[in-house]
Amino acid sequence: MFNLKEVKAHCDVPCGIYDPSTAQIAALSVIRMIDLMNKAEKGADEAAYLNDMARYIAVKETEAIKCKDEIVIIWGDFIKPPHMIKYPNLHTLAHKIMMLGGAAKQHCSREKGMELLAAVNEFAEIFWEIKGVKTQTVTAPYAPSESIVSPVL
Amino acid sequence: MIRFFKVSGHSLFPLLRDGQRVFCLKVFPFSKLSISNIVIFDKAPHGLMIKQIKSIEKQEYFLQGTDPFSIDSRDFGTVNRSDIKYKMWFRF
Repeated sequence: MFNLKEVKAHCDVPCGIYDPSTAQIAALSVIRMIDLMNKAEKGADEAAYLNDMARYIAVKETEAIKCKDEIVIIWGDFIKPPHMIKYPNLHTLAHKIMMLGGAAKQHCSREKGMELLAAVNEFAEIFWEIKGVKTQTVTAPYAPSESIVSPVL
Repeated sequence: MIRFFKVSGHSLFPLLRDGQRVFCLKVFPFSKLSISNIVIFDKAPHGLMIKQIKSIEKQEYFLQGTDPFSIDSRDFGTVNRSDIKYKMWFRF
């Protein structure tokens, strides 16, 4: 008579899959492209140089947009009003990521890319905390070898 | 007759919070169900769900959450009265 059963008050697709790791990888890719652009040398083969540079820019553009899109999905679909009460900074943080994603497209500054990664990592930390999953900060095992917040699974 | 349930999810926020306990009464054919009542019903494949009555037409109930992304009658249509098992009495 008094046993406690769970009743579902779910939203979206039940047990929807959300994970900020795609956004983190995208932010790392932005930094990697900036590194490659800054390292590229204009040698005798100008066409090859321009070809490489165009590809780096195109990938940087795509990854910055991907980073923003992934955060928007989590922000808009997963984050609910109770989360906003617990983490009042979330809207500001998400907006900051949108701005930094735009700046990453506009500039080729490594500093801007690092700011984007830091903001996405902060978002990931909150996301996993909401999910009740502990996190750790690890160094990505590939260039640009920067820190990422990942779940302890 | 009387049963406790634990709410899982945010679709009825701010009326109900995730993890909140609700005290419910079993719904009988003679029980009165009105618009804005919060009810527990059985809906395959989701199982037992909790939503609010938005409208009633004959024996069909349109049940809805407060969250725009809530899975409710907007997705699976109206729910027959016979599938409504409990009515929330109070929360704590």
